Amino acid sequence: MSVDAATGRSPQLTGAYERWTYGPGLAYAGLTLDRSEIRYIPGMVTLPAQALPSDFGRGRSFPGEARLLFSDTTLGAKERSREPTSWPFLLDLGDAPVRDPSLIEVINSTLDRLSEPLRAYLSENGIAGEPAFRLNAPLPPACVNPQGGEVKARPATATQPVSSGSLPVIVAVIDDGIPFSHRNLLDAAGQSTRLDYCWLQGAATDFALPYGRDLTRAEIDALRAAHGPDEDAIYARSGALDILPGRGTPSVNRFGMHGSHIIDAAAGRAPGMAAADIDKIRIVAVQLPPAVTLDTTGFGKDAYFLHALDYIFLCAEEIALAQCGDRKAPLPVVINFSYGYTGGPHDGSSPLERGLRQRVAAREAMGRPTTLVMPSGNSFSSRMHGQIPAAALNGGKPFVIPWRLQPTDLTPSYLEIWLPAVANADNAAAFSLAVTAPTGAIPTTAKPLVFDLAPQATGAVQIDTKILLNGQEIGRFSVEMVNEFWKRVLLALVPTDPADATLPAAPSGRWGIALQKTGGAPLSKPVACRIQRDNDPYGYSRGGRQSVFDDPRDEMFGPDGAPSRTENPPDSFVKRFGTLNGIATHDKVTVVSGFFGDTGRATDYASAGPLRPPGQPPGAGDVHFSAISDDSKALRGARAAGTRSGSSFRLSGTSVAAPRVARKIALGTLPPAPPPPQDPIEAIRLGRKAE
Amino acid sequence: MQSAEGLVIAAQAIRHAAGKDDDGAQAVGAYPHLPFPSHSNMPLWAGWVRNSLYVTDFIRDFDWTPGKRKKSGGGTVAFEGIELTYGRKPFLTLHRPSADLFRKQLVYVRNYADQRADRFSEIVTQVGYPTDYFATILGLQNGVHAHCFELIAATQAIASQVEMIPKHHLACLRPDRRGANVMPMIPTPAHGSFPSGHATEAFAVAIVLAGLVRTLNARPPAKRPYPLAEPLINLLYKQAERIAVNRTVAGLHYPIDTWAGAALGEALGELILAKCQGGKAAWRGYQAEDSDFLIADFRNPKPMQSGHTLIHGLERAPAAIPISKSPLFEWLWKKTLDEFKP
Repeated sequence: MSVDAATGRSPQLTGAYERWTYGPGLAYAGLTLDRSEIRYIPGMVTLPAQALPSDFGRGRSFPGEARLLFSDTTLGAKERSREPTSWPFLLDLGDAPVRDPSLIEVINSTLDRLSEPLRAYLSENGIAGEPAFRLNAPLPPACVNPQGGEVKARPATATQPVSSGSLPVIVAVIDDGIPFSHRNLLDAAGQSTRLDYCWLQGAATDFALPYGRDLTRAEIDALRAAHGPDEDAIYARSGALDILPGRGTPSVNRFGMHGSHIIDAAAGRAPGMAAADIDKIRIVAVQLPPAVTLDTTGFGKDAYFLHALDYIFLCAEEIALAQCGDRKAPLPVVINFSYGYTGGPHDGSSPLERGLRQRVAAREAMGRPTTLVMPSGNSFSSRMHGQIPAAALNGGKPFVIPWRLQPTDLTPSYLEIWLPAVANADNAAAFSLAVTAPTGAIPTTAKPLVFDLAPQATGAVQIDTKILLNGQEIGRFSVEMVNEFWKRVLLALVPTDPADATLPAAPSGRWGIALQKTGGAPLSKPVACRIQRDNDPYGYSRGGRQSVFDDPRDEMFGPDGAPSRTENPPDSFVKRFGTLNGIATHDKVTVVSGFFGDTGRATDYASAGPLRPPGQPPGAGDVHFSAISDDSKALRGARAAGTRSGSSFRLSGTSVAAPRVARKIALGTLPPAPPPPQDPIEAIRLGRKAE
Repeated sequence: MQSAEGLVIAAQAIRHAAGKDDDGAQAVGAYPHLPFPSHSNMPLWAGWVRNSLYVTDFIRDFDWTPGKRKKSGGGTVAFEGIELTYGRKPFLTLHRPSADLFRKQLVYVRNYADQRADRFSEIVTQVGYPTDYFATILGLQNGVHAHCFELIAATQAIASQVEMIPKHHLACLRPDRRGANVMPMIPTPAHGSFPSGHATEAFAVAIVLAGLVRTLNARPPAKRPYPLAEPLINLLYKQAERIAVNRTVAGLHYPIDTWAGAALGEALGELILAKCQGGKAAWRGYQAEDSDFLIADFRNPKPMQSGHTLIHGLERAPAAIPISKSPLFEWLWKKTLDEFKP
């Protein structure tokens, strides 16, 4: 049921992931999530075209009541878009008592109630559609500003002019484990940090920002002066370490972290490096809450990302005011955002991509150069992307998707199937789906797994049902209208080895997911199947084990025995092209891939957009640039700073190539475009080489 | 035994070449005799013998009173703890932490456990005395700095002997006996948790070497072996912290064990330096508070009205206990200083 017949409303404004992560999936996050602490849930709401967050109203709320908190930047948006728009929010569930196990129902009814004013506005103005809420991992209450707080930047102070006539350029880094007192971020004189702002989203609130706290250049300099040079003391005493929902070491206390590497590669000045140019770079950093919170069970990070962009652009205005006397001065901003995602529709239409894109476009529209740099992803040869040819389904025979779950996986596994909704419900293609466990057992479902491609309102749920094996719930099947273009089938399976052994486990092994077209118009395009990333982010150990498509026709290795660098034969289900980072497929992002430093050849893992005819320039959804992501096949990774001044470590992946390109864009030192490489496949995978 | 047999055979085969049997009945030349009383004979003894001499020489003035401590106005008072004395003067009063405080400290053990992968190599190579971790700071070389290594070894041996007394009397269980998830990455040794032996040894070594660097760099500039003393001293302390905290990372110690061990190590280092050079030692007392161990805190206590300092339950008095030089330590100290040329 998608719509309540009496009210004409969707009873739930959240999507399939939310119904899982805040529903039955929550139990599986038990070790990392303290359920009694779930009160503040950040998220992203996607509004129909023409609607604005201010349409939710600034309704009064009483202390302890549930609230939907938007920042002034969000509420101040005036321009009504002709497209759906995405906005970050913070949901405060209020002082309500224990919310488990009916948490998702509480959330949905709360969102329903808080959306009343918006719905009134939509209906008064004849706008079709509903708000669609995406929920992220809850924030520990100690992080959250109970007054709501604003995403804002405090005034900046001017530095010595870099060189006459040249504008500073702002490099912004969104990452985990930002070593804000690192010497490589200092100016050439070694006196003051170039890190003008650093928002630590996972730190204890200082009651200014909506969550966490930020440090300004003056504060970082003061900390360095008061506690230096012992950087352990600086971090321990700054009060700026992450509040960890479970327990663990704050990321900046590891030897080397993703963020320390990335910020150094993007904007660092190692001792001895020519200094004049790098002083042109002012730095803004946003440290995300620890990945251990974010990546546990399929929660997104949308709100953190969108708030980060808002913050960065506000900081850029303050820096412009301080350095140029005019907050509208067109300071270039280059944002490096080294995060990837393997799910999504891959056409730029996912809600988060829309949010990212809209923010970059809005700043560009003010005449301020803005570049969002993101990695292409590392899943080229990870067997997480498959395509079912249209012909294989049009014949009416079932196509079995071979999905292999690993043993000892402590986290759930997710499979997405992306089907384009058709414009007209008449003769829309209809499907059925059948699941077979590795043991050969057939799980049961309360409802038959049948659906079609008839258009529905965004967010509408066509089917949402438990998957039961031996009477125990081991997963969830849902089909919903994700946006105006796409229907998404989501299959969520519980861990094969739950941390809480009393919970049901999914058998590991090869699952058969048989998709069958049962009627309606033939398909004209292949159907994309995508597995969500399920391995541990760098520096974390939460017990994820990556599931794969176990396709016998997947030619993983080339004739020379090396991992394949090219596409599979047409009759293979697994595809290596089309694996591009699923939150970097829109037209306002610069996508960076990686190559081996010694040979200049694409790495075995660097993801790529779809194959395209030789000579055709890259567009949205393609790789635009590439840089070194491994020194060689034998010496993996590139070297950049660890968390403490003077340390360095190797990190591999397109994540480390992106900041090398961001740096060159910021400094204007990209080499001239070389003649196109001979190998057309490499040209698609690598785009323009930046070094 | 084969060598003994060989020596017997060879002796029988060649002894005739020395001439007439010498039964010592008559003097046949000048007979050597070592000076007495004198410590100039030290080079003649094996290293382990000298080490034994240092330890015993140090220990004879060391004593302890479990369950009672001196009152400031005179007399003693019972308490749950132990007081360590040198020449009957208290130099460290350790209060036994409560079981509840140890429980609260488990969170630190858990937090640091995330760094096991980062620090694995250090932890495994620091199971024994982590001498190389100090030697590389000062550029000490085998053969060249033999007496400096002897000084380090003596300090470590003394610390290892002394630390077992409070460990035994205070009898505090290790983290793996309190937290089921601690799962140490190396086996837990069978002695008490509080104070930490690694912290005691590392801090004693750091203090002694810091004293050495200060003495060396008090020379006229042309004779100084190092351009600056302070960076090296900072590193010696920082390394001691690192070694001690590595034991928390490994799952063997609570941070308050490190506080107690660092206080004991600091006291022993002071006493050893005083036995080398003469000087005074200080009293300190530690009444554990729930805190992490940070070298920046340990080295920067807050002054109290009494003239003492205080930081996270560690109270220190100014150095007021006169310690007389020991000829054994004096000899070793001089030999060590001579090894450092500019």
